[in-house]
Amino acid sequence: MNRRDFLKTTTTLGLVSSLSSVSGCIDVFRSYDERLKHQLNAVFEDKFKTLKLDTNKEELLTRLKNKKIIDSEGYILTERVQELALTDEMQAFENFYYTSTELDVYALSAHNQS
Amino acid sequence: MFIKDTQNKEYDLVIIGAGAAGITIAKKMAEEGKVKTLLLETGGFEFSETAWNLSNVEAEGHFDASHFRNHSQRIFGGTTSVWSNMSSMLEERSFINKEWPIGFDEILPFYDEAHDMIQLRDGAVDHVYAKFTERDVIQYRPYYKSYKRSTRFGEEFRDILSNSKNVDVLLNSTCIKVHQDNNQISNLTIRPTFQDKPDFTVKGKHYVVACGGIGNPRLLLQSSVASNLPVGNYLMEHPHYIDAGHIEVNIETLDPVIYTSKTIHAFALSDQYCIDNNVLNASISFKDHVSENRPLLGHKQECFTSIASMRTEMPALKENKVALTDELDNWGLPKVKVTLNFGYTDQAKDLWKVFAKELLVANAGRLTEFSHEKLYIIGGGHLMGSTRMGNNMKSSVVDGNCKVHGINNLYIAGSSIFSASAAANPTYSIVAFSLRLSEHLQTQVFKS
Repeated sequence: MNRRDFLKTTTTLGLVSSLSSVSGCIDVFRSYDERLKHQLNAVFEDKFKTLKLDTNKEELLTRLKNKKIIDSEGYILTERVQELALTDEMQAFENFYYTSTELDVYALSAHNQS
Repeated sequence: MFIKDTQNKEYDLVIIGAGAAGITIAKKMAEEGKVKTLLLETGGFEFSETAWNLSNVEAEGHFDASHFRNHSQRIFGGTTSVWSNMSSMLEERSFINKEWPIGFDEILPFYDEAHDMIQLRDGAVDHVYAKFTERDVIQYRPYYKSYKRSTRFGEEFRDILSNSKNVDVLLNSTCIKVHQDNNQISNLTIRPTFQDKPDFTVKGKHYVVACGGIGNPRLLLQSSVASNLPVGNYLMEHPHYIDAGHIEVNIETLDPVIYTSKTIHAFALSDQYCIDNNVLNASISFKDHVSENRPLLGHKQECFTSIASMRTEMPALKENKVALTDELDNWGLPKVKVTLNFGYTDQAKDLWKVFAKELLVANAGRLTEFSHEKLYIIGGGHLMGSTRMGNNMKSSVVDGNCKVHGINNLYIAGSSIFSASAAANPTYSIVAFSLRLSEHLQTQVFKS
């Protein structure tokens, strides 16, 4: 096993162990809002703040729910974001290309900070 | 063995030029041990400005003259004395599309031995590309390098030629004219490169011109050989758009297909996509030195973050060419002018977007916009196609066996025979085609 595989295996084992002992338990008691907020915080980056300017939080939430990106328990379905990538318009933001759906997620993550 | 003069010996085979192609063929003749062969080279073992000046050209278009000079070395080993050793096979697509007059299966078996000669890392033959997504649009298609820093043919194969009983090597000797007598080459006029000695004649039964992408058409044009053929036309290069943008590559998605990290990582378009959309190929390379967790498709994923450079295939255009001018050089030979224009930045920009979209769809990464306004475009020094292979005498110079149309005993080796360039560095294929030509000479031409 090379160093990279070794690190990957040990990291995965550590993650599994901590998830089952702590995070997993916490997640069970999270409300819809807490769960969604937690996921949006995890993906937020400072540069996404400018996305707030042209977007409305409620409209983003509605759109992402309608697209089945956010489910009824407040989970962001990243597989669904990928599924839509094929048909989504590709948009440039801060020079990088994004799918329109993921930009909505990042815009919502920025609204979530306030 | 290395000789000082030929003593008027007549050879079975005379090879003009000791670069990747010429040395490969001479090595095969040495291993076979029967065909009396002479390998001629303008330069010697050491770099010489005098010899190198014989590669001077005038230039028009995207490059200045130094570009062509830099990639036409006159030294034993040729341009492998300076190459960066990046290797990738040609793509099957251009063979399927009949751009080549032969099938891909006719060249594929020779990559194995070429792989060993260049001392490439494992994978260059059997892990040429890998799919990482269900969609057949882009692939992981890396460039392989050798175990060493670079394989210099002049150093690697000097001993085998030095010890050969049937292969003579004459350095510091420049072929200035190939003499055609009807449908035969009768002899060559050779000029000592450094000494003020008279020209002399070399005779062979068969000849291989292996002087590089500029040198091959140059010699034929200066000799008025094959003047009924489009010698010098259809010159190709690989436009390199250096630091055309940045890329984030999802490590988890790519991990299963990255066979070894000892490669130059790259994505390329699939053959099928190029065929379906009638586009030429392109390749985007990236590095794996830095990784960060980046937001990708709604969550943070571990990605390599790297600058991204793009190289694109060029079409074979008649107006890109090597041609003679009316002026004479110091040796009294017509000067050469090279005209080469890329003109493919718009296509490169469009294809970049295809890569950007497909990386997202595959959860494989993210590209920035193509930084076309501040683009730094260079060539790879890959001078190809100037005596291209084909069946039609109006649009090609050599046939499927690298023999010049209409001349019974003249062959051409090197990247000048390429009918299509793919998005692949050429040397690996130069060696493979030279091995194929060697086999043809040994089994068909010298079989008796």
